Amino acid sequence: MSNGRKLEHPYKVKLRMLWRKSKDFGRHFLRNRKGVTGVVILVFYILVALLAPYLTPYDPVYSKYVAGPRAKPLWFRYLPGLHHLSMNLEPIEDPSFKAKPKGIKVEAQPQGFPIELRHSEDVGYPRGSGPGSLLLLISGSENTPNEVKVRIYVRFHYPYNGSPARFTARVALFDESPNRVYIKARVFLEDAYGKEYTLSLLSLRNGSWAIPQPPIDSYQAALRVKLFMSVLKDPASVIFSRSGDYTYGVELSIKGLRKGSTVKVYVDDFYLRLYGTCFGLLGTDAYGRDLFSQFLYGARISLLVGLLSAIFSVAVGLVVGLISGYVGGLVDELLMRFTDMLLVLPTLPLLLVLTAVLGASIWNLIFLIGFLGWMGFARVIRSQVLSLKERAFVEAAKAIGAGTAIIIVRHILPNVASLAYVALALSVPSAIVSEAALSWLGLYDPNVMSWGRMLHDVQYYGAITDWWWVIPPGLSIALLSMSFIFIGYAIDELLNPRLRARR
Amino acid sequence: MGLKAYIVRRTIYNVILLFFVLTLNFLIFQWMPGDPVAIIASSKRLRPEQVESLKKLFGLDKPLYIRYINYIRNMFTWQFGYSYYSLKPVREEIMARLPNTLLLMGTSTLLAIVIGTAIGVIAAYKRGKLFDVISVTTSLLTYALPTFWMGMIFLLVFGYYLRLFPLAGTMSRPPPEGLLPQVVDMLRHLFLPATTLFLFSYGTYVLLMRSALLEVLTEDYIVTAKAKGLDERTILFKHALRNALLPLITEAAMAFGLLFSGAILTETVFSWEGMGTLLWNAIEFQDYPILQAIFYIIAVSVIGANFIADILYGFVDPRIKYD
Repeated sequence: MSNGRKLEHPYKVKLRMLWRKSKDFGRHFLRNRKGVTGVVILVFYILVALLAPYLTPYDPVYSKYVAGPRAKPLWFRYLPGLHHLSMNLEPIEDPSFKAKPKGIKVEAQPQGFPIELRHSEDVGYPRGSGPGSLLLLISGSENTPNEVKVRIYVRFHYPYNGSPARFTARVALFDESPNRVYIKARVFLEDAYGKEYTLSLLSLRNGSWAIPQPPIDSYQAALRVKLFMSVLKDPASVIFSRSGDYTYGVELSIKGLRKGSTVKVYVDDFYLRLYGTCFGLLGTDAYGRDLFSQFLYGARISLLVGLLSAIFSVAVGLVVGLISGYVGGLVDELLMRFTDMLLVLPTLPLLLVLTAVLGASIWNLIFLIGFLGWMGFARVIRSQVLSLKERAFVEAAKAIGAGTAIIIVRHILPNVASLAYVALALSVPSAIVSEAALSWLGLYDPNVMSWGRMLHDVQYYGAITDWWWVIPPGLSIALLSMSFIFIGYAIDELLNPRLRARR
Repeated sequence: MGLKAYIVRRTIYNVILLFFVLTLNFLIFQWMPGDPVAIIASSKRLRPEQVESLKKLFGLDKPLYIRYINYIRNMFTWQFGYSYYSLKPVREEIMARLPNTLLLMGTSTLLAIVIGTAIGVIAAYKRGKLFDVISVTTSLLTYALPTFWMGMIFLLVFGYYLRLFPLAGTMSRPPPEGLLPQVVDMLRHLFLPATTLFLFSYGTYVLLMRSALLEVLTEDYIVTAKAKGLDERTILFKHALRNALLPLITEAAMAFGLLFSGAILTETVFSWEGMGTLLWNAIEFQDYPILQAIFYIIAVSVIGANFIADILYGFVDPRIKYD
């Protein structure tokens, strides 16, 4: 310490050198046009993958019928000739009545006796969305007729020229009236011409909840029967045939109301849902699932499978190549014959067979794609190691008594690291494309949505003309693959400068 | 060691390799789940004695080692047994598909090699210029595009919207009368799948040829040729190109080796009745005899093609010593 400075710990020196080296590498990398292009594309897709839950509320696999099936993109409405597309519409904004209701009217026939509709905070349909409902109170008087009809309804404007793809409706009613009062309910829909359709009939039983059975759904044959409609007709397009003012509601027929008694009926889960024929940025698939969400979440799967399979295959390739090359002899012979064997068998068919056997879970896909992708790289590493192990520095390490493991890890590995980085970047694209191909053929994990599976669905549902469904996943597979190829080439140019002129 | 000894040694090595691959091919399908005879029996409502005769037909009533010996013998005599699904001889099924696949793969592979190499040479010649940049980028893009997606887009644009080409199949049904219309019909069906496969594979040759040429152009003898005052074109075609062709041989041999395998994805998109669709259907129906036969054929052709490439290497490049 003659100069008064303490010597730095060698570990710190090493860290500082590493930092300087990587800073240097980064600076050179940013000067490489291909590298920058690759990184920009990659960062975009990483952001898409990470931010997917914040960009869309829907699950790509399980959120079914967020709109009608095979809905077109929302912006199609603004294209010429496509004004007939309808959007999702829910006339009752808060169907479970968490807050005070808006726009819901009540009307009795004949008139002339007290009737009240109020918000109840604590009662709610138990299988619905918790407490909160409407409470209808009717008190009988001397001149109350034997049968009273009460309508609870909402009038709404349907602004689209085209009909919705589908509608569903429901109302849950709870009867809490005195004995010998009989209530029947009728769920109805009145169209723009004033024609009324009865969607469902219910009889209420004292002290229990009643809901329409079978559920009101324009897809159900039962509804067509109820509406006396032919099988070939679609209730949604018959009822919502044009834009105009519609009424949806429930009519209660109350018998046996007397003076002094009060009928109490709770109304909950009172909704009418119209599923639009256009939705979101990219429309929906055959189950009404949002394609934009599928596209966003697909980036996750491609990145995950691509990166993990590549890491796995490069790791296996490194281990096999290092051992085979350095140890030599019988081990080398065995490993290389095994490699040859796998190289001779066709990769994609073998991958298909093995996936079909083991099942197409996402982890199996990653494992199998990685397992069938290391052979070429192992051979490259082996030939590199064969020449490296004759070099003087290995001789020197041997001379000071370093063991095989130490020599491989400390002296040989750093010299093939640059090859490994390049191989890593270049095996990601083939893994991405392999996953897409397997999924496209139908060997996908049913719990995740990948770009390949989106394309499988396109083919499966005969939707190949829906170009907004076909183009985004396919183009993304190509762009993401290309970004890794570009990055691989850039690393190759920087780390193996002798070849700089080659590419 | 001379060429003859080398060939003998390689032959022995390749036969051993083939033997190992055969064994692996046998084991994979032994290990696969599902009893195909049971599947057939349940779908066709067979009586027990019929099940027994089916088992006999497929040789499944014998112990494992006998099945293995039978399997090896059958493979070497090109007797592949019967398809579990169609119950037809596997050889018949394969022979029905092979010409279609050879036509598709042969056309696209040849075009890819010739055009890809040519573009690669021009790109190397004009390195750094616009042509170079564009050809490298497009070959990367077409390589990265999934083939099945490319096929779907082609079908959509040229088949559906423009109606220039048929949407599916290998030939119209019924086929048109006369030889010439038949050939035209076949070519119309061939065009889109062959283009798809060509676009997928030509990029490899562009990049390979370009980098091989640029590598050769840094060699000393090129510098010497330049110093002699030869013009760039002579140097490129007379001195550099011949040496740069070496890596191409390996790549082309591999491509020819895979001729028989067909292209599963492209053939599936275009419903091309080739080996690829046969293979994929066999996987879906667990039709193991067909899978075994196809894997065997591919293995033999890949090993054969590599063998030929090794020997060709020696003829093209006299520097190579066989050891």
